[in-house]
Amino acid sequence: MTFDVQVIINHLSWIFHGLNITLLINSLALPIAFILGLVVCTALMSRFKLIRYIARAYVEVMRNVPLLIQIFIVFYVLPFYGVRIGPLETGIGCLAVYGAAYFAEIIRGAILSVPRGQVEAARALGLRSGKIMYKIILPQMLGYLIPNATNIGISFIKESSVLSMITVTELTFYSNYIIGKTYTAVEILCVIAVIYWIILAVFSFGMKFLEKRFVLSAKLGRMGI
Amino acid sequence: MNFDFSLLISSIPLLIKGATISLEVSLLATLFGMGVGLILIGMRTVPLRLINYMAALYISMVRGTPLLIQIFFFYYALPGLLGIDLSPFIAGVITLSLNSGAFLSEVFRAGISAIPRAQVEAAQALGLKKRIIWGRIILPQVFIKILPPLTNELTMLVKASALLSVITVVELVKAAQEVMLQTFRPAEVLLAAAVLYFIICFLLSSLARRLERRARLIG
Repeated sequence: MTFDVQVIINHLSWIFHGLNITLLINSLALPIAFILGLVVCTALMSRFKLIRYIARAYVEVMRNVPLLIQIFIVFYVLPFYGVRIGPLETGIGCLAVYGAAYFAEIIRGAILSVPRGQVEAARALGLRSGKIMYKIILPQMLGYLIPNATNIGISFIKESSVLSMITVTELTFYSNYIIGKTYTAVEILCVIAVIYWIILAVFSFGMKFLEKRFVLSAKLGRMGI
Repeated sequence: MNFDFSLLISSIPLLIKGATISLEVSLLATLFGMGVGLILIGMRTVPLRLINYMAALYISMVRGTPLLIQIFFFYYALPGLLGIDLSPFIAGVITLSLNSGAFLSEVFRAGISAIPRAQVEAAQALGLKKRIIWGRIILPQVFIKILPPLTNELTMLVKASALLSVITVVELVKAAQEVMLQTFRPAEVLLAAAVLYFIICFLLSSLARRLERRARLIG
């Protein structure tokens, strides 16, 4: 068994196209998911019971049904009811809605990680709730939020490979396509795996950098100051 | 197009058959994954740099690549490399075990580091052998501590096992696809599959939460 480099070189343009789509999907879906997550998080912590229940139900459904099934439902079922969305849009939308549930939970965890007494003290000192959020909770919760968001982002980028199942032409889709054409599974899968590995390494490096910028507040949070 | 509830009901027996396969694969993978995780922990604590690096590389590789690629690798690439043919089910269990092993080794590590160091020192002072210290003192406590994350991992694996449908393991998703091909009604069948997944995973994650609360009470 030899490692055929020529196959990789021959299909480099496809691999690059797949890489582009994978990057596009994630750079769109991740921020949207985070913003949606903020919205869902405020709903989770709402004063109104009904809104809380709805948000909780949404989070539980998203977290307990595999992404593959969710994508299939949107991609195969909606056209039956006259709604037609392209595979790429479906993929980005599903990934964002799916990720929002996970982000909502960690944002909530981050807010709750700030000791309750501090909020009460700030309120006793007469700070407005906007200021409490911005000056007291936010700087401290980042130390909790960023590492957890990194983990979710990583599993998110990996999960985007599932979109190949609904013919989104991202990296994994091309790996299958090229393997089907050339029967060189080892070469292609190794290259694709290394590409994912590099994407994730760059992503976690970037997040580490962010974390370092907020390291002071992170430390203070841990000391309970 | 309207929604046919009788079809939803009639597809359920076939889907439940698929769901049992999903559960079977996930349980086997959790069990073998615990073995892999323990081996990895051993490799990381051995006083040999090379073996430490190998374990770290393995964990980084598994965590750094999508599960789907790993599944393809074990099903399509490995037979060519080693000259052995794996059945889809076996390939699926192997992939999920090796995958969850990397995650479980972190769980084990967190569990072990939660055991007070003084206990080990006391055991050493009493002259207990290393095997006894691990087998009788550390691991039994670790297992109680890691029961909640272990259940979480099982939930993750039930969801991840959906991907095994691509290598024709007839688990829940594949069973749903087969029913879909016969009936041409994706809405009912996929919804039934989603409900089944939800029930299984929700029960498991509720169990994990309950175990967590109890573990906290034990202290």
